[in-house]
Amino acid sequence: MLPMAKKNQMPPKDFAEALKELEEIVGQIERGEVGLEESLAKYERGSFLIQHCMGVLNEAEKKIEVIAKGPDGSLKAEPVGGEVEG
Amino acid sequence: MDFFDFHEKVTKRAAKGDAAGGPPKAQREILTVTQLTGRIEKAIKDAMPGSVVVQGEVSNLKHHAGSGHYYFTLKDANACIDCVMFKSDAARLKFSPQDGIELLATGHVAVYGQRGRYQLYVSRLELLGQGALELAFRQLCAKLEAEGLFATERKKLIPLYPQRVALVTSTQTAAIQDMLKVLRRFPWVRVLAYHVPVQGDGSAEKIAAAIADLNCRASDIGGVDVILLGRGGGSLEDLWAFNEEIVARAVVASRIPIITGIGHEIDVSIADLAADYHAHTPTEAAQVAISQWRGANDAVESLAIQLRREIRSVIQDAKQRLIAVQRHELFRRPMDRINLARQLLDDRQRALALAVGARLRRLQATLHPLANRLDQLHPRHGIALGRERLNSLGRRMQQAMATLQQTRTRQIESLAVHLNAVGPEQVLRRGYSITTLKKTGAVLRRPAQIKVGDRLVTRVAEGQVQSRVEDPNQLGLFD
Repeated sequence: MLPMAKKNQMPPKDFAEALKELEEIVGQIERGEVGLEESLAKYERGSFLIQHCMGVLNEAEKKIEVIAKGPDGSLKAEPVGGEVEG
Repeated sequence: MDFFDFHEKVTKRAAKGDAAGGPPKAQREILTVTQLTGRIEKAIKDAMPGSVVVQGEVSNLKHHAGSGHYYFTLKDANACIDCVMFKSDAARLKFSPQDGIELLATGHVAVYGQRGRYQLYVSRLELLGQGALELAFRQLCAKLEAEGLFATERKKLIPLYPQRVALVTSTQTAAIQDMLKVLRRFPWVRVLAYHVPVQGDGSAEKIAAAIADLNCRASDIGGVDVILLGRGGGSLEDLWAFNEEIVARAVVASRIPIITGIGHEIDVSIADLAADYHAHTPTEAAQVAISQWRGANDAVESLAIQLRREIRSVIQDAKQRLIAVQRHELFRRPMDRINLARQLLDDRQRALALAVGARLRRLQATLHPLANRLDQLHPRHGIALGRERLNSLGRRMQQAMATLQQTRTRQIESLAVHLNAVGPEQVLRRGYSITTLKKTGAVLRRPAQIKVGDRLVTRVAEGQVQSRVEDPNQLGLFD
């Protein structure tokens, strides 16, 4: 069951995508569109997505960075302290 | 002083003037018009500074379609001056001059000899005062609107859950603090600040460049989901950078959605009109960006609860069905169904046999008469019939032949009798003879047929004799 497990653990593109997928999973199970085995697989995927979303929301570190332009035109983000935070 | 005194005084003064200022009559200089004009030109050039700034109201404005030059008159209450602005200078204008507007014209004065005029050659026009800025705003607004830059269908969707927010603003103002105050409550949102001056010369270009940079180089800093373009409140002049065309075009060109929060509630900048979402203040812009995140926790939790409830219900349902199936009589007396089916099968088999038998019989009934008819039509019947007719004909023919033969035999016999009766034998028997020439076999009928020495054969009843002619001239038999 490695492929299934792999698919179930694939992180979504972003938070909105995760929520959308979760809603779909709940909807599909709710409407009985999927069989029992698939329901369980989807439940597993749903649990993973919930963990993922919770993980995003529980990220504690505040990230404020200042963008600096390098001599070659590339951009660099540097964390700052009190200066910007005020 | 009477009239004559006055007249004298005036005359004297005039004469004095003549003597002092005017050239002597003998050396009177005559100038061509061109020379005069050249002198005037020089005088103006020497007396006037290289560049002057003049305030006045525009009138008689003409934009020459072919050359692209502007021709107009600048006037105030007491004077006016012809002005020309060449296409190359006019291209830098941020507004379209119109009759009646008050402005500052920078340029130099020079003579236009062909027309005998002096003109102000304008290199730069600036609008004057608040009203002038509003005019520039309205004009640019109308131009970009006509190009469709503000069209709703051009607006990009703001991502619901941006995880990387870039602030394009000055890091030294209160506006950034307002935005951070909102964003700080969502620690998982990465905030990137791109410092730009938000007022003064060149600020518009820097703002536009920052937006372009973020679009080209977002991957350098891990990507950007949304840009907040913000500035605190100020006068129309303070906010002017956000009304510049270059900023509006950068906002429209951005692939990353842009939320603007510029000035106070009542301010609307051209950048606001071009933005994908126009929030009224920096604080509101930040609130719009994170609005969905507020409910994110609840949304995830409610989905988690729903998911658990649904899967429980699915499992419960499956169990129920399993139990129902187990209880079904099918599982309790499994042979019932099979026996029933078997009985049904037997019935069907019998019915089938009956049906097939009936059908066969019906077919046979149809077939029999046909077979009979066909049998009757068989060729052997014809052959037998033919053979019979042939036999009968044969028999009849044989009979006919036999009859014919008898008849013929009788005829021949009778003929033979007749023949005998008339034949020479009987005549010869009666003593006659037949003489023929030996040479030709011809029957001797006339003496002329023979001559002396011819051999003759004479047949008589009992045989024949040969003789030789001695005298053919004999008397006729009956002479």
